[in-house]
Amino acid sequence: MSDLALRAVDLRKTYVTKGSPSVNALAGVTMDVRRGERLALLGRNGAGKTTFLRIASTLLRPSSGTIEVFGVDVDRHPERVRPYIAVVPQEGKPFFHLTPREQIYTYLRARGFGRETARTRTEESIQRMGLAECADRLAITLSGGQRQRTMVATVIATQAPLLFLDEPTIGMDPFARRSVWESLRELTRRGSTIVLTTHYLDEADALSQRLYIIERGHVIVSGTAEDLKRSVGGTLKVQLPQGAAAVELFRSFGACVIDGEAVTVIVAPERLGELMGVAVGQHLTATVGPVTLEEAFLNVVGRSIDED
Amino acid sequence: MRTEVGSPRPFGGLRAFLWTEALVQAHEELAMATSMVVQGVLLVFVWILNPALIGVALLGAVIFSMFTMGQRVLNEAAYIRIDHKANELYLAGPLTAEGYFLGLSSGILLVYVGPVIAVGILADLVVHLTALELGVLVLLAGVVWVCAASIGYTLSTAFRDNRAIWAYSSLFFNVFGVLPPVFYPLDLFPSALRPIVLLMPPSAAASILQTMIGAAHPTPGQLDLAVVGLAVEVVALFLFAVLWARRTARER
Amino acid sequence: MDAPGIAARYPNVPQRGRALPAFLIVGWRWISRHPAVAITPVLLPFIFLYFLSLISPPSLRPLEIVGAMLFTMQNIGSWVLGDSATWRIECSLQDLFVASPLGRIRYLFGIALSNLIAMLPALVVLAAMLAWVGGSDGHPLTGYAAGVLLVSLAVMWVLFSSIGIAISSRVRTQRQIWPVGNLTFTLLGMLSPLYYPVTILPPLWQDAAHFLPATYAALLAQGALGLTPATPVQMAVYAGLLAACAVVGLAVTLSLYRWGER
Repeated sequence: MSDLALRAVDLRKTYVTKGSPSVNALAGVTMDVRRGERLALLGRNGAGKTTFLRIASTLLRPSSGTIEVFGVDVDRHPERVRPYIAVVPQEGKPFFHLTPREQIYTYLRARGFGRETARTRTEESIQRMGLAECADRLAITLSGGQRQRTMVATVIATQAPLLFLDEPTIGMDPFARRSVWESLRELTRRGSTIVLTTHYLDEADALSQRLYIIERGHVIVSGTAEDLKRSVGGTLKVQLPQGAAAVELFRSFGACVIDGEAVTVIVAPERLGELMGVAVGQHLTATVGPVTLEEAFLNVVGRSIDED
Repeated sequence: MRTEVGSPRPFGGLRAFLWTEALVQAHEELAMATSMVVQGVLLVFVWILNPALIGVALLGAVIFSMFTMGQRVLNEAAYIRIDHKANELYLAGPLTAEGYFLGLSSGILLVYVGPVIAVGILADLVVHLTALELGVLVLLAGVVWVCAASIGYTLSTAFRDNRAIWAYSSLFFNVFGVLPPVFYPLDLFPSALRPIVLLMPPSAAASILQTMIGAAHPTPGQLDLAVVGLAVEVVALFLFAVLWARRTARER
Repeated sequence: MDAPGIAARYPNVPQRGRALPAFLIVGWRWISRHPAVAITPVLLPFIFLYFLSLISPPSLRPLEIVGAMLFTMQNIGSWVLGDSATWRIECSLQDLFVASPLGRIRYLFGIALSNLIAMLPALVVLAAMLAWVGGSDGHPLTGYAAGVLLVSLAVMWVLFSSIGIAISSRVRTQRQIWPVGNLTFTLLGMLSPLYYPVTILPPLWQDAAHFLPATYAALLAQGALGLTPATPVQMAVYAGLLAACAVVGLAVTLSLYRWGER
């Protein structure tokens, strides 16, 4: 049996709406997801991430191309795949007249789980997602973050072999986000595969084992977060709050981003000492830190836009 | 530098929001096309089962149509608040709460009054209203609209879930509009309960019109009850809606 | 047939969803937490029956009660439309069920069932009224009549629930739900002679009404109760035509019913 949970080849999707120009949401996406992997899809708004996720999770049909989940063509035989997947949709809300406990339990029963299994998994999911305090409150009385946690808990409880999560931690506080991350790590330890989209790059950095960046329906980068950070020419960044006037002295060290009077230089560790020498010589203050995924993302996507 | 901040004008922003809402509603072709479905059904039933009552039913359809605009106000205000949270966008600005309420109601009136006028013309052709009766019809239609819009807006603040709105509003507007003598003469309604329905705006208005065209024969006391009750209700409901709009502009 | 090896690798994954246990909870919790919401389907038929009682002859009373039962069942389609559209558009909950082994037919059945729960009190009260009014009017509710009425109601429930969900899958915004439901189900209720004998309609209207399944449900129920004259042959014809309309109607609605997006 193949090691791949998901395989897409030249996947395309064009949205055609009467009275509006058609939109090429996916313009030929090819990607693989290995079993047991946590994969993040990144990209700007409208890049095509959600479209890809919806096609992969049988919610949307592609215009052309192929996509297989566990070796089954998702477009031709979605019903064969559906027992093995679950999805957290973007901006989903629970049934307003149910409590989180009832929501999770009801969904598990709808998926065919027996009473005892559904009960056990419901309680487990409630604890894991920190919903114990509000588990018996009506969803309509919950905050946005609590509702989102309920949706994630509902899907996590399924322990499906392949989970799709579309911006799962949107609206959550930092503690809740970390609960979600830990739950997803636990699921992959148990053998599930996770595909998620997110705008939180710290989340992609902390959670994903691999990532893809989609821009205007194309994959422009694939690899690990470390690969992406290295691709910008260094893994360290030096921030010089008054350095813009002397930016020409720093260009040889790596990419420079000017923001008013400040400049940030991406530099390889082996050239850090040299750069600091230049900064000291110019009587400039400098702060050194690691390149974040966000900076790498901005750099890569920004370059892609410039090239276009 | 001191910034002078004056008190907002009463009903400030009404005109702007009226046109905003009218523009929104003008795009709801489906809603416009179905705005008279219930009235149409009831008129058909009257025409089939008791055609002699069709004149009364047509007048009742005008009154009922103005009353169901309150249902539209309820749906729209609740939808904007629950789904879009756009009321917060509008009210955190120079638009006053009462301007929002009345602008929303008036915008809906502007878009949906066309079919009502058509039914009114049909009623006139069937019943042959005098100029006075026509004037009273227009006046009462306006009074019922004010009452309905006020009730609709006030009720809209009570809902947290769109799904619950349909059940409650459907019940409310049927109890007030179909059950009491709006589409049929007051004389057919049990006499012991007539004072109650004469205190309901749509049936009070319908009964006044029925009396004027000779289709109903309330006692003088009952007619006074309808007229005075309606006059008091329209002022009280409107004032309450204005105060309630101001109170609920900020959640407690 | 599952993908090669996947069923063996994940043997504990249920292959088939179950609508009944899930949607019984969904439906019951809705009315147990909003009792006033359960009152609306009970009261609306009575409000309308009262209106009819004032403008029509008393001899039509039992027929109108039967009509109210059939209309209540038909109107479940409107509630199914509202629920399924709201859950899909506002809550994106349908996505959870699409990406699951439940399947679209079970989902349809689940929503229809959850709304039937809310309508049951109304149907029970109307049935009691029919038994009382019909009995005192020389049209008793016999076992045969009750059976025919039940079958007619069941067919209406299935057919109009599927109409509701098929339409809901095409509705794009929340704002469209109410006018679309209003137009569809109120018009259907008006066009079919549920509250009066078909013979009092104008000829052209009678012809049009014979294309609607609710007309045959009404003719069957009215005939079984002796409210309108119907020979055994006519009853068999009505039953056959109701079945045919139901089959055609279901085929059309299921083909229109969009489960995933295109």
